[in-house]
Amino acid sequence: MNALEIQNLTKSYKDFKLDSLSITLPEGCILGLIGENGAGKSTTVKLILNMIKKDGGNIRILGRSSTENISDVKEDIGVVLDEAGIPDCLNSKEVGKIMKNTFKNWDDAYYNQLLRKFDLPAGKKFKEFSRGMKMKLAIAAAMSHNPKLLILDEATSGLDPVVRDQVVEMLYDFTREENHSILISSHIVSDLEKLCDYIAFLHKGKLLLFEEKDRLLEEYGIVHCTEAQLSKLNSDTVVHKKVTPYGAEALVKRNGVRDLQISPVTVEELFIQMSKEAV
Amino acid sequence: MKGLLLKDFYVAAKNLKIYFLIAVVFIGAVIFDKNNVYFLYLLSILGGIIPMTLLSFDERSGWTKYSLALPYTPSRIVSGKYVIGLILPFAVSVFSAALMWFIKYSSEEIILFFITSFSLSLAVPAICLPFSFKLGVEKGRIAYYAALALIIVPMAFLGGNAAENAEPVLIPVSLDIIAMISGIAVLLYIISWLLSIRIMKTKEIS
Repeated sequence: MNALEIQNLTKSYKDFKLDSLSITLPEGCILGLIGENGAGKSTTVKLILNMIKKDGGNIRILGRSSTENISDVKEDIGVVLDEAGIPDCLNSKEVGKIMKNTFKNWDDAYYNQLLRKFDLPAGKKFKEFSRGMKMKLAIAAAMSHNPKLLILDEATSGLDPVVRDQVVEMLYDFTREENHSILISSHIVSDLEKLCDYIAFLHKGKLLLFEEKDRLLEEYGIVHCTEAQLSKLNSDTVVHKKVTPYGAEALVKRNGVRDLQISPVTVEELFIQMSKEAV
Repeated sequence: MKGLLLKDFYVAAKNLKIYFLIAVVFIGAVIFDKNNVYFLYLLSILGGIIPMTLLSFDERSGWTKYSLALPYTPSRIVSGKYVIGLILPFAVSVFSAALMWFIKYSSEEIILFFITSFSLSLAVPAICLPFSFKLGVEKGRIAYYAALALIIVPMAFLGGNAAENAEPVLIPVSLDIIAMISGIAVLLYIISWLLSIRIMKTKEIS
């Protein structure tokens, strides 16, 4: 079963359009939604959670429609938004009590175990937490009702590298169960590069690419050569090129290159080059 | 909805201490002089304001958006505030009625007070909440002031009548009018509740 299936999802605003987005997240996998600020990542997350109304397309979450009985569907989803949304005056103990009265499958023991693991004090107010602690509490709250799908929208933004690494570890732990899946959106590509099985690039509301990460890295590479050598390559092979007086650098599809040395490409480079080409 | 109400209880208990202080002053004024019963109406209105105050805390913390990502429908989120808008004024009106009984008002006066007080305090959230859900609490504040004016001006008028009569008349209007006002307040509250649900269902929270 797929954890998430999105087909031709469309949403228009006065100055932005999410244009016919189609992506699938297989069960047990992690999908990274990458895009610059304003690319449509948060709009996509809100549409998945039915927080805003779609103009067109279909969304199925864990085999169920996102528009029918969405409250039941959300019992199986853990959500962490960029702004945690927890009132400043609450402490983690109170947050636990609220969530216990929100989710049918709330697991108090597991929540308290996560609080201890993340070193989150029970009596300290949320407003006194650092950004990292706030996010860890939001993740603990999102993971303690036995969700099958975690959705994180820019959850790692603004975190220091140590906490980001801890968050990545937590997410790895979550996916040890084979029916657990994660959709994570970020503009910090390095986090997703480590974590994800699938990558989707969003740019100005359009899906530039959706592929399995390993296949993506096998399919694309970087060549450093002369302008003359580059001009011999088929235009379909060259995704993006940069020519300087000292030579040329190009993002290429590996299968179209014969006699040139190809260096591996990172997801971040790939995203930047593709975004430039799409401008 | 229990989670939503519990959250509002925590937020109110921690942030609205000033309201409790004002309530103590009003109650003290009534105990000091039983003709100051006018303060008990203000106390009810104070209870009616609390749903908007809680909504403004929700907006500031991002809870409104977050709650939509939890298993809560827009109807439940709206209803949470309207339930508080019923419980608090009811509790305040009951408390005030008990206080009036303690300072020896007649049963008829207490019943009339209870109906009027509860009705007036329903009117505040009934007018303000749809605007607050539609425009946000800050922009909806104009409705809030309008509602207070709509309620306080007639109260001042009634108070004036009482003063002219030179008697400590609690409700200088007939029971029929009180019943009509109460009916309108309840109807207004129901319409407002349904309207806010409709607004929230179509609202696009950024």
